[in-house]
Amino acid sequence: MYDGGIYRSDELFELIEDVGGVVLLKNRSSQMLTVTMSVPAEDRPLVEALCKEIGGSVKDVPLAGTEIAVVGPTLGRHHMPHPICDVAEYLRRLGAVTVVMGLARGRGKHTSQISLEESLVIGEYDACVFMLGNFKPCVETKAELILSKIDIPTVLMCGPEPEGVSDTCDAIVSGIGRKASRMREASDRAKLEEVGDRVDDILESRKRGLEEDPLFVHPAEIKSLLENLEPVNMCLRPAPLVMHLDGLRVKIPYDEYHGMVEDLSVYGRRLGDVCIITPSKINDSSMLIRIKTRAQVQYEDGLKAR
Amino acid sequence: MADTIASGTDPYGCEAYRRLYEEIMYDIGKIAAIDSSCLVLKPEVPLFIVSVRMKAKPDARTIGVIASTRAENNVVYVSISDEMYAPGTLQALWERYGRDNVVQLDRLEITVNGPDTSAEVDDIPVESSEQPIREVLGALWRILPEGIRVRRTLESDSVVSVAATEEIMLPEYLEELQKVHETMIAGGEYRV
Repeated sequence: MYDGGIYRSDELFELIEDVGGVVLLKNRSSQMLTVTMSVPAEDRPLVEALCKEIGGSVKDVPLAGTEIAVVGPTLGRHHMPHPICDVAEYLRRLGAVTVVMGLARGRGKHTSQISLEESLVIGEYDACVFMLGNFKPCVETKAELILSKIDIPTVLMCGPEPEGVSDTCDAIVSGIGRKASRMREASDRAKLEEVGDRVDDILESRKRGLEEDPLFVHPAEIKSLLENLEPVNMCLRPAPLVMHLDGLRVKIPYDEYHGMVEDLSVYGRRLGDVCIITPSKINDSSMLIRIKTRAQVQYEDGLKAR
Repeated sequence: MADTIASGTDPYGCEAYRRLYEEIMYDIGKIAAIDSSCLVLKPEVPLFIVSVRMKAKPDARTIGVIASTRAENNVVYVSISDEMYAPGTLQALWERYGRDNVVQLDRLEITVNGPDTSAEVDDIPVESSEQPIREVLGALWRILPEGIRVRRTLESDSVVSVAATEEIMLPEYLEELQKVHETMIAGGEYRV
């Protein structure tokens, strides 16, 4: 990730293009710019030298190209903003696009619940970090009630070390419960790093799973295709295209534009034939593109040939 | 720092809630006014009791306490010493003398046309004696877990106690609340 000023940033974009790299995310704030990019390893020294020359710095971002949900039991002040926002910000610094959300009825011990709609919304992301509190019996009860209904890789963050919940989530980071101050002490920073490492681990294993049955086309290729689409260009929302491990979130209305997106051509095929394009469960102003695997496309081709 | 005793069935939760309690009381600026506090935390029930003993029974505050005043030619000049009381002072003066006669010169300076002496202005109440207790109660609601919403409050001169549970407030919970409250009034320590 490049972190620096916008001065001579056009040279950086040209270099990325020249070496065959791709810009995953560009974020401009006043005169400052962060660019999350993917470039071939052999060209990295070249890119680093240019970034240094134009006054910026480059750092590794292991979670680049992913979108992660950081979820709390509610959006009330008992659960927000600390430490949920600190975790979201830390993951953002590791390159992920993060979204903070709270459940409508997640509070309480026995009365806590997650609706099907909420499960489906969380299921749109690559991974989820779920935050629970300081009491062991509450954490164990709620993990069973809520986390068992989330279908994506999940990291449970809580105060005490819970027992008997390992089958409801993919990783547990204990030692971060409810608190009323920011996570700025050394021990807090270590916990944030631990959360980042666990998220990286579970995404890494998901990436390995995808490598065994690769996607028909890399999400970055669809991203560069969609960047030239007029509704995406005109979209004023920050990060109109967000990459996932197996697709993208496109922040344009599904009803109006899904036909246009499906008709795009990629490797001589209709995008709608090699991807599953659905409206987002959050609202109707964005759509999700899930790329089919090569095996899936081959199988469907076989069916058509018959 | 006031004494805070957190006891219960979950040692990790007790320590975490003791820290949380102190942080929130510090945030609202009440830590110095608190003599001691007792937190009884039983998450498996769930039953949470928090009892706070203030250093002194809060008094009602008048303009004379929170500001210095002087009278000159039928005009009383009010100089507020703590900005926290500025909105309340302004409102009290508006109510007594009308908006036309009260002019706020800057954040802390107010002139009042009408009163003959500054003593008359000094006696106007700005904050009732219940206000500090209300603020402590607000903080306790913030400390108690969000879903534990069935609550009962006991108040005496300088002790406020709150019990909270999730569904039905059983008589035994109220008995325990009463015991904690009485122990705090007597100046003792209650532990589970």
